[in-house]
Amino acid sequence: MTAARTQIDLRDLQGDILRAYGNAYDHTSYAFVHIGCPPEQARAWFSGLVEHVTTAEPWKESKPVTTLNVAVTAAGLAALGVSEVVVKTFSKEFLQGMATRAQRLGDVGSSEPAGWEKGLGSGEAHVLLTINAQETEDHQRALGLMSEAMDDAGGLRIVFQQDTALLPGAREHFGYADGFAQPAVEGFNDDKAPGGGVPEKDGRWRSLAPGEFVLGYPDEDTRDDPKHRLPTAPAAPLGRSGTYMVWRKLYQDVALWRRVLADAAKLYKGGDADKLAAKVVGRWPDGTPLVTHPDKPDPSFDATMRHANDFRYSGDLDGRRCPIGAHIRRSNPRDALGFDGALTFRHRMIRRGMPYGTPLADGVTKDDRSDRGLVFVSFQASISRQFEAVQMQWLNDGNIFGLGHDKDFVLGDPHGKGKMTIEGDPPFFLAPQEAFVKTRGGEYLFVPGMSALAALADGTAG
Amino acid sequence: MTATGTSPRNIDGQAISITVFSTVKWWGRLFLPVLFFVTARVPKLTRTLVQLSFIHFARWSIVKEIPFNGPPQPKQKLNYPHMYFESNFNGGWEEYIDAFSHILTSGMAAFWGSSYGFPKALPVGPFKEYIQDNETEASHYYSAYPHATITMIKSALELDDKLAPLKRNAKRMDPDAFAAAYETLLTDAQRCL
Amino acid sequence: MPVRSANRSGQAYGFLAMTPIKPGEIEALQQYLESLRERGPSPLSRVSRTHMARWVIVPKFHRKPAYRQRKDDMLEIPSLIFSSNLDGDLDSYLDELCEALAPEAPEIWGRCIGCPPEAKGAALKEYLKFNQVDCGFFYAAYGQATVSKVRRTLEQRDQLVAFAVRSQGLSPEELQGAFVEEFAAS
Repeated sequence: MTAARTQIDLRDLQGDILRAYGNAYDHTSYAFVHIGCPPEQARAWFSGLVEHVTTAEPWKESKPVTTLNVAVTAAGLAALGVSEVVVKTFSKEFLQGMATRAQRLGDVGSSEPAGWEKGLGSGEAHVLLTINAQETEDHQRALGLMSEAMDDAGGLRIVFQQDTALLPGAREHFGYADGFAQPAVEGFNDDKAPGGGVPEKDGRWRSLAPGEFVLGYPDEDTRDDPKHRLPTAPAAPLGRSGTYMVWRKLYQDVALWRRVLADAAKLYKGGDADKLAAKVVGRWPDGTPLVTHPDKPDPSFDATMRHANDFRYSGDLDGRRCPIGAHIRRSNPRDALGFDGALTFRHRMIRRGMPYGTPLADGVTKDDRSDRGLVFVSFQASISRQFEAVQMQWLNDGNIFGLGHDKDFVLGDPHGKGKMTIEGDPPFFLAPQEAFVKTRGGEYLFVPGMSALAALADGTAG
Repeated sequence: MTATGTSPRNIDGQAISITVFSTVKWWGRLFLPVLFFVTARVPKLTRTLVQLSFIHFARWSIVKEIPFNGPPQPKQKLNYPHMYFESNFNGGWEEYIDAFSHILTSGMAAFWGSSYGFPKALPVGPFKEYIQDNETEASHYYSAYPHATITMIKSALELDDKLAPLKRNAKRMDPDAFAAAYETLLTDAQRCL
Repeated sequence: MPVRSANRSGQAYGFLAMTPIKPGEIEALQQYLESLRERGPSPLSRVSRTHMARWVIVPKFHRKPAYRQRKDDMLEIPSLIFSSNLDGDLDSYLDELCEALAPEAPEIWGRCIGCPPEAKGAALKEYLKFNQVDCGFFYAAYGQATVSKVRRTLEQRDQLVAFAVRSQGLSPEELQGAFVEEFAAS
């Protein structure tokens, strides 16, 4: 017997978490600000910011020209004057920060923090401003306003900024449609439950409890709790309507990807390089899932349609259609691990990333030394249960799938050791090789709710 | 690296140890031996455990009395039986307990239901707290093959059986026949590789 | 009479000894056990029939008021648990253990009440058996496989994977030659 649906207070929640701004904005800038002035001065600037933050309330007329959202690191909380006692109520992994936990995330070798871009992972990043804009001039204007406000305040500087822009076709740099497969959250996008929710026994799908992604609400574990206990959250008033954010800059070596697949395809008897690449990813470039269309993409596939993601793996347990180690199958195994999805349903994430950098022209297989890749952004109630567990147990290892120590082939193995099996009659093996994706930096952040932001600005957060 | 969520002393490579002592109610004294006896003899009851493939070795034992080794050990009579649980597993501590709570809910109730303080297995939060309260950290933990995970070991054992005939016959086969047999082996054993 | 067959699963055996710690020695014992890792490979690696084993110090039996346990049942004296998942016959295993661990045993069981003064050999083995706690239910995922078989087959698996990857595209003759060299040369 499930509890009655909870009503989310949209005015208290920042935007883009439960309901995506989607592809309404072409440009997104991420600016990490360092607070070098005393907390009272920082809070004055912060108050100014908070007035402009975009909430989760539905847009009444047209969409705003630009949106602003704010997140803070553990160091940022302290810089804003939050007491140590309160800061300690945040999760352990958030407090330690991503750089400290790099080893467990597989950020070693070419991805290790020592090689990260300046300003990321150093503890200097305090407040992250995420600005979305449609037209380039709106984007520039918003960035200008942001700079002005900081100059006025004094003692603030941007330690790292990443500008990003949508690629044509909402693709990422390896050429794949990305970002359209998201969890179905109860009360928000129940229409996406087929495929986005929890796969149930009789073929049905169920939306996820909002508390998996927003603190202060019941999650999948506590939704049926007769004692109505809520999931762990930071101390009031900071916890409510907040969420944790993972931000990572992932460089993608597109030339290497193309070369490796072209080379390997010479020995692959199951198809050409495009087919082999689709096997590695688990989808065709247009987004058609391999498990439903193993031989070629579906010409009628449309990522925005209601049932775009409505598929399961239980009819393909031997991986002949979609390899067991394919990227999307690893990052969201659905029912592939058996037990009616019980091993997977608590490890979902909302993803809101953006590609950055200019595309490498079609067919080019020589690196042009240009910086391009993906800014990975996820929102989840628990960084360790949702982001880190997926990274460690599903992407950077293969035990749970019966794949030994094989890692996700798209992300690659920083030590260049993991192979990938393409199941078949006979199977084909992709040789271990240098990673296609390298972590250039990242941070763990907290996205406060609106009243929490006000408390931070007032200095009443405790 | 998959071993996470617990003290480094409980970890050796990929293997994680968990050690839990719980105090057992009077009726557990009668119930638990029956549960143990039946579980060992009815394969169906451990099928899920086998399928989950997290655990290398696990055991439940009852301590009913403390053997007397002479002074200065006081002769101790226990008021209750105490249940010792240990597991050697792979993956994260959190994911391990989550899996048991969600998938072996009735199994957890059967084994811990007679222990004082056992909240139900679901919701997971209180159950994890209960385990944490009753868990003792190892001072030293050892695995003979720390980097191997369960499914790797099971695959390796299965592969050994499948590979044996080809190893025996390889030399004297005709190359084309060998190539065909090798391909059949790979196809047949691909889930082990 | 203890039910010894409950300690077996396949050919694997679950052994547990719970020994009382001498008063005042618990900290020294804990520090010593924790330091084993720093000194090099675990001493248990010398006992080749050991799959997985642990030493755990149990200072007391835990109890919270919320448990509503009527009487106290504190362990009068803290205990050292030694638990091992091993291959084959217990007696011969303990013989091997007591010999291989001769350097360390005085610092470990030597700190427990009732341990024979020299902490080795047959006397140590009897002490451990005297304090044995039987398994109620013992689960072994691959109880039919010994440590040496596990290690050998793991290595073979790695070998075959590497072979399978690099030999794609070889002609039948080349493939056979390479395979024989790798797996069947004798």
